[in-house]
Parts: sequence; structure tokens; C-alpha cells
Amino acid sequence: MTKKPAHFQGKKPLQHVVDAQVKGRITVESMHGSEVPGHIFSACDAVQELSIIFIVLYMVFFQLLSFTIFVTLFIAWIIWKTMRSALLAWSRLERLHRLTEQERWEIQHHREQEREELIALYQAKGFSGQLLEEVVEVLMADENRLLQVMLEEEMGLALETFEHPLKQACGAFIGALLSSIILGCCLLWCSFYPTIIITALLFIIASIIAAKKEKNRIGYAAIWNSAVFVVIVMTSYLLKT
Amino acid sequence: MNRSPYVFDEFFASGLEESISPFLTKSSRHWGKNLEIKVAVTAAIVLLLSFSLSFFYLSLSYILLTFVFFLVGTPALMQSIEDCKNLEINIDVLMTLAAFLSVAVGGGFEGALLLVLFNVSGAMEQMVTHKTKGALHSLHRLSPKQAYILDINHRILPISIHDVKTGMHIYVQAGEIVPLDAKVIKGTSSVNLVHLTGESMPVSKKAGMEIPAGAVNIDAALTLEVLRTSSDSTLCKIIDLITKAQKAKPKIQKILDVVGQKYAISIIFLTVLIATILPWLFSMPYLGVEGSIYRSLAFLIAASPCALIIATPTAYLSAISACAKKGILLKGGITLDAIASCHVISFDKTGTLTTGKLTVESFDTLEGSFSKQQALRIAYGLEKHVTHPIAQAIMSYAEKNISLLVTLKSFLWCPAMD
Repeated sequence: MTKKPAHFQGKKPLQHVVDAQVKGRITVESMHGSEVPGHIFSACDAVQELSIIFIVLYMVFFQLLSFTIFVTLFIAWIIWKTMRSALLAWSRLERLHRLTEQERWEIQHHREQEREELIALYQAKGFSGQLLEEVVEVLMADENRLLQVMLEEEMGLALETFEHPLKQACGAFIGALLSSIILGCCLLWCSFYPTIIITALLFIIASIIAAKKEKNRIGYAAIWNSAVFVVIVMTSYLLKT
Repeated sequence: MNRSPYVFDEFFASGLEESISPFLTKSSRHWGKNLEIKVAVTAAIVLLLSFSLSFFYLSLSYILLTFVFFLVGTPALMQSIEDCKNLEINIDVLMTLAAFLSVAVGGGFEGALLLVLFNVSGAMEQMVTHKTKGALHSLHRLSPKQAYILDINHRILPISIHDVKTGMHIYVQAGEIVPLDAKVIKGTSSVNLVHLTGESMPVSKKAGMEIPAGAVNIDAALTLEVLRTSSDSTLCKIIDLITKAQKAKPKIQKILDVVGQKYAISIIFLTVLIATILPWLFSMPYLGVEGSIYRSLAFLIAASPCALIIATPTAYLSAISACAKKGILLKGGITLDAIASCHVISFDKTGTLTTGKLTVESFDTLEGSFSKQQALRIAYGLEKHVTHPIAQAIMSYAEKNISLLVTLKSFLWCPAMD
């Protein structure tokens, strides 16, 4: 039996493809799991997180924390969410670029192994015989196309789907700022229960927008997120008392 | 949906520039353009605001100052750490050290100003070198990634140039770019080498003659024997040379780098010396405003040459802008250096001082033969089948000057013999 080169590390081409797909999925995921990338989603995320932190502090320290402390919290939160969003997006972009560079190197230096991977990929799609050979030959001839195929089919990545880190950060900034202003106004002019209701509405609206963006069922998202909000509010309240 | 493949070559040639990243949506890529300049300008504005507020609201002013350090200090710090890791103690490291330590002696604004100037200098340097990248991109576009081979059934098949070995026969049609250095086996044609040599007049090629990669085949299909693989081709070597030239710094910058390194090491050494030795020589404490550490930091800040750092790119950028206003486009600072030491200029006229596009001004016919209109019609009919620049000029003249154009029933093209 001939010894397999280091490219496959003793695995079969199809297993190598499966591993590469897992690697691709990990590359695009954020720290807190898979999400729809983009400025609107990051805005919704900022709104939801600020609403939760606010409501917990509000319940636990009701009339103990001054307005200034809340304003400080809001400003710190705006900065944190904006910068974190940008840094996470940049980190993801760096990982994607590194992966692309690695794959390009593989295409240029391990052409035979890449051919085997392509054969495995397209065999799994139902291609065989002369047609399979021709498809593989055509793909192997064009390096740009081959790289795109490998990124999309082998790694499971999608081109032109992510927003620029600064645009995403801008979304987070607007989300955090808007929720800060609304919650700040609640602190100034609303009593205990209206504040809780407005915070809940803010949280649910953000979750509905996120669900719409993810093309999930809006009704389900609204109910589940309302339930989560109620659990958090009740837990905070009961623990305090 | 028929989707053309994404062209990754430019992205890799740019050094993975995020403004052309294949993963970013087209609509959001502009956010990454000229980021360094945008950051420098933003930091300068925030610093100005911070300084203005320092007379009224000190806390707010310090908050803004922190942002300035974040925006321009973080990249400078990262670069300095990289330099130190590579054992390169240069002016940049000295500047960053001075800027951050200035906070310890209560000179946060001065430190921030140093960092802003440092960043502005970097942004200007980037602007100076940006123009040279265009040449590299156009060469990458010129470099084909595929060659065409004839299989045993005489079918033309595409093949990646990485799979082409020396001695293999490739097929290049009229209008295509020759992908690899090769020798003509079959066919006769003219090739354009304008991107390789600057000569815009086509050169005739026939069996036995060599053609470099990157040449544009104009007239007819050629069968070529590959002489060198893609990594050894003429075009690849040109791209390598341009890439190296791009990384080369202007002359003054090189001198400054050499001097700067020695200067930075000396200053840092003296700073440490002042901080440790002074209390031994004089009755001076280590800490406090009167202490040796404070004095050594003041020395370090005063000795950081911010003017020297910003002077070079400013001078080059001003010269490039001044030339641009007069319609002269310079590709980076190295070109300026070359011009400064230039005494004699030789021009390759065609395509440099002239456009390289031929036009017909007037023509005459032999007495008693054809009328001018008839001759032009025949000339048009003949040249219609040829892609040579002279033929193009005749065709263009005929299209403008005669109303009834003729089409030949049959046409035979015989290449001229030497």
C-alpha cells in the first residue's frame, strides 16, 4: 500500500473534506455561537444585552442606584459593545483570510490531493465516470474557481456574506445608544412597572427583528424571548426578596 | 444562476487587504478603504476636542484622551512589540515608548500628539506607496492562470499553468495572452509586448522564435512548446522584481532607518543610565518629580524625534501632490529619488510620448489606376480580416470617409517573409 502524503494525515479524502467543513464552520462562528452576521443583528444583540443587565440592576438595586451610575453603565456598555463587535468581526475576518491563504497554498502545492478531494466531493454529489473526470479537470484548470469551490464546498464557507467590522460595530453602537436613551428616559420619567414593561418591550422587539433577519418564526421568537425575560426578572426579584 | 468565479489574485497581491476581501459584502467593503488615514484624522479631531475641553471639563477631556491613545496608541504599541520581537529597536519603538511614558510624567496631551503625528506619518507613507500597487495589479491581471492544450482527440482543453510542464505543447488563439515562456512550433502571428517591454508596435513571430509569457497574441492562433514553468517565467520574474521594488523605501528613509536604529538604542540606553546612575552621583531620589526616573523619562520624551519621523513622508507626499497638480503622476517616493539623480532622459517614443495608436491622415492612388473611393473600399475589404494596428487605422479611416463599404468573397492571408 502506498503511503498517504501528510496533506490527508492518514485520512481518506472524504473524511478530510468532512473535517475541513467542520474547520470552516468553526472559523465563521462567533464566540457565542452561530449567528447571522451583520450590523442589524449586532444592533439587536446590543439592545437585548443592555436590557437584561439594566433590568437585573434595576430590580436588585431599585432606588439604591443613582441615575449617574446608570448613565455610567450605559456609556461603558456602549463602548464595550461597539469595540467588542468590531474586534470579534475582525478576528473572524482574520481567521477567514488565513484559511483562504492556507487553501490557496494547498491548491498550489498539493494538487494531486486536491484533485482527490474534488473527486470525493463530486462523487458524493452523484457524479461518476467521464462526467466526473471532466468536472474535476475543468475545476482543476482554473485556480480561482477551484479556490472558490474548495472554500464553499469543502469548508462550507460563503463569500460576500459578512459586513465590514466597522459597519457591524456601527450597528452595535446604534443599538446600545438607542436602548441607553430609552432606558435613561424610563429612569427619569417612568415609575417601577412602566420601566419594566418598556424594558421588556425593547428586549422583545430586538428579538423579533433578529428573528426576522434570521428568517425564523417571529411569533416563536417573541414568545420564547418574553419567557426568558420573565424568568430573569422573576429570579432577580425573588432572590432580592 | 450562472456565477463567474471570484478573482482572488488581486486580493492576494494586495496582501489580503480587507477593502477587497472576498468574504465582505460589496456594499460594506468601502468601510475598509484608507482606514489608516481615517483613523489618523479621527484621532486628530478627538485630540483637538480633548485639548479644548481640558480648560472646562477635565474628566471629559481625559476620557477623550483615552480614546486618542486607544485609536493611535494601540497600533503603534503592537508594531513596536513586533519590532522588539524581531530585535529591531528603531525610532518607531522610541516614539511609542516616549508617547506612553509621557503619561507617567503628566504629559498625556504631548504623548497623544506624538502618537497622532506618528499615525499621520504612517498614513502618508501608505498614500505614497499606494500608487505603486496599481502596476502590480495590472501585471497580475495580465498573467493568465490557464493554458490550453490539445488532447489526443484534438480537443482544446484548459489546464492550470501550474500543471504545465516544460516541453508540453500549448495552443494560444488570436487575442489571448501567452501564459508561459514558449517557442513557436506552428503558426505565424504578431505579438504585442507593450506590458513587458513598453514597445507598443507588434512583433512578428514564426516557427522557432521565442515568446515571453505575458505577450498578447494578435493575429492568428499559435502552437507553442513551453520552455519554462510558471514559477520561472519572464512575467513571474517581472512581478517578483516589482514586488521587491514596492517594498524598497526611498533613499532618505533608508538612511534614516540606519541612523534611527543607532539613535534609538543610544537614547534608551542613556535613559536607563540616567534613571539608575543619577542617584549614585548626586544626592537624588529615584521617585518623585525631582527623582531620577522622572528626569530620565523627560529626557526620553525630549529626545524622541517626532519631526524627523513625520518630515520624510510629508516631503515626499508634498512633492508627489505638487507634480500631480501639474499633470505628472509619480509612482511612489523611489521614483522621486531616481529623478533627483537623473541627468539624461531617453524616451521610448511609441506609447510613451505618443499614444501608439496609428491613424491615416491622407493617401494617394497611382495615376490612372483606381479612384480614391474605390481604393479605400478595397483596402477596407482587405484589412477587415486583419487585427494589425496599421489595418485598424485604415479601417477606422475608411469607416469615417466612405459610405458604401465592400466585403470580399474570399480572403487569403500570407505572412511576409524575412
